[in-house]
Amino acid sequence: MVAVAKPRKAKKASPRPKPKPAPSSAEVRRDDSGGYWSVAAVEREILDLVRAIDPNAKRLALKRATTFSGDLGWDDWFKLSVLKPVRKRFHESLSATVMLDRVRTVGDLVDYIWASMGPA
Amino acid sequence: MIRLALLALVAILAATPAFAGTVEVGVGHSYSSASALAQPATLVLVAEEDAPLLARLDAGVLARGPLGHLAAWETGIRAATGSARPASRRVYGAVARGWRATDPLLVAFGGEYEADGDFEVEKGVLNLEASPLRGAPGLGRWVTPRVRLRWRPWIGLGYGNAFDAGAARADVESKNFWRAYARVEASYQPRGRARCDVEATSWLVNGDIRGTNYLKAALAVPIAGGLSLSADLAAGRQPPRFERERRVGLGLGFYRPLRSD
Repeated sequence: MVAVAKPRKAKKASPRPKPKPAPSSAEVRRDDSGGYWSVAAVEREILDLVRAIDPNAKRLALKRATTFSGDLGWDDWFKLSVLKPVRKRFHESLSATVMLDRVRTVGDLVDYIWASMGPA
Repeated sequence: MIRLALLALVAILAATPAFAGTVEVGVGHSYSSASALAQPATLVLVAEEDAPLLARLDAGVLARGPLGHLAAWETGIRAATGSARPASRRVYGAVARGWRATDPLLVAFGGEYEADGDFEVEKGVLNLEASPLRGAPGLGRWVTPRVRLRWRPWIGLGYGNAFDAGAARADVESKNFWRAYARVEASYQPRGRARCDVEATSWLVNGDIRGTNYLKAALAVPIAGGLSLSADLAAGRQPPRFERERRVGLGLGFYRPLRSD
């Protein structure tokens, strides 16, 4: 697991709710096991994971816009192969139907995992 | 027992959307496999001299929704019908099933109703089927980035009941029957817009594997809005009557994928 080093701090109680900041590359989130991740680290791990599952991906220049169906030729069921490795590496349980129906690109998968993580 | 099990499945599915999330609906050739649904629903008109205009329709609709994190429910209907087919070769069906991704396998369990064109033969079948998520080259993914061919195997076991055992026509399956099957689906999508999908199934019916194979294939060239020019081929015998069929057609196809593209 690629964890981003960040000391744990006790959160101070805020007297009033603050507006939610827009996601940025500097933002850090926490997975279900307490590991800290930046969006860049998540993307790096996903690219490694896709290459590990599909040897064809090693011959392509993978990027966020790479589509699982069109570029990699994955059928619906093959897409579900990512669920187990994602659970192992990120400790996040993704929905199979969301994977099938909504996740079309590598970037969509990164965003889905990122959205599943909690605030640091 | 089969009827009760099918009714229970329908009741479960009827209640499922109430607590389910997004429901996706796909339209294609059939619902028997992901590949079959990827073949377009087709309407072929047959004109002959001194004969009325005949039609042949192959269509299926499948709806899917979540059932927890790793599972989903699916329900669908299908029809292989039209005046160009004799009633005994027409097929109507409805399915209710659930599947779960239990890496390295995808396991599905469901019930299916199937009938011939004049409903003289009606059957209910409970099916358990499985497919590996990945493994061999080309299984679920392109063979190579240049060879855009993929395939997927399924094996299944069904236990069924012929509802009307006193039907006028003799049937290869008796009142209660077991049905084992193996299916291979393949898809070839060269660069461009055309695609070719093939599905081949072999059934082991009452211990006899001879003559119980069915192959269907479609070559589709999309036009616009889900419509395509489609050439399709079918050969072999398929449930519920396992009558021999062999045909080639060229017609208009329609396909809507089972996802939000």
